[in-house]
Amino acid sequence: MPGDTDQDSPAAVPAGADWGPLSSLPGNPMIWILILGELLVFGAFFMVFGIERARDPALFDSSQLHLDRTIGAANTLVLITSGWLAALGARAEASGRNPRRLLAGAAALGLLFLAIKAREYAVEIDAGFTIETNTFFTLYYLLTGFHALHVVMGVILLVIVAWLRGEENVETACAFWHMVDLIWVILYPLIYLIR
Amino acid sequence: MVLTRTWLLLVGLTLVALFFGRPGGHSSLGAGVVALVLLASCFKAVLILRDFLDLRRAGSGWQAFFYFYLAVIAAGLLGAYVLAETGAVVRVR
Repeated sequence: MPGDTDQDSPAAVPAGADWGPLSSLPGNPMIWILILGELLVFGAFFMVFGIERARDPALFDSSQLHLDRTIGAANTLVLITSGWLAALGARAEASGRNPRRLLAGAAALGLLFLAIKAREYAVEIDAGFTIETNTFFTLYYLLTGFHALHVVMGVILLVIVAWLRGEENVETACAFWHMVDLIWVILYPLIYLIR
Repeated sequence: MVLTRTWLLLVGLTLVALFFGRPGGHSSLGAGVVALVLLASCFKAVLILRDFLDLRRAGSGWQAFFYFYLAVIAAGLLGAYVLAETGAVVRVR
């Protein structure tokens, strides 16, 4: 049939591709595949941390004392405020307003988060606590370092979509940023508070 | 505005978790306080999913999936904490 020409062509990319159940999620379905994967990976890391702590709670509790819980909480506030600005930016883009200042603010707070984290690492390393000190610090550096890499990627995405605007671009970058935010709100109490 | 209300709730829950986590304390929190801290954190995650990630626009099946996953993680962490408190997990060297 004449109307089926585009669908039959192997080179054609269907405009409304069917992503199955993912189609009902807001934004680009690809970002949700990434979000689901990341949540599963970090969920596994969290369980490893919990189980390792259960095997040696005294070591984990004494090591945790060398972390700065208040700085960790301050960084949580920085990240959720950044997430709020990103959400406002996505809302602004969707309603036809310029989101650049909001996205730039979100990215700047992401950089502040990284600066605070780097300062924390420097203090801990100066005090002699490295990735090889014990199981707690190995998991601490791996989990927070892996998360920090996601923050770096999120900041880059926010800067890119601040220039290359478009509702789907902004929504997709912000979705990644919220995923980074979401992981931290579980990671912070697990590593810094629970003892 | 929903997003600003959500942000204020997230800030409040962070401060609540910090208060109950006793930032200057050295002693064990106990299973009750750990459950409270995990509950506050999971509620924060739900707020981020629902309002910031706009999961409220998705079908109820997806919402149930994500919230159930968070509950499983929290329950697993609480379970590991209780096991550690009771010394039920044998350390292997």
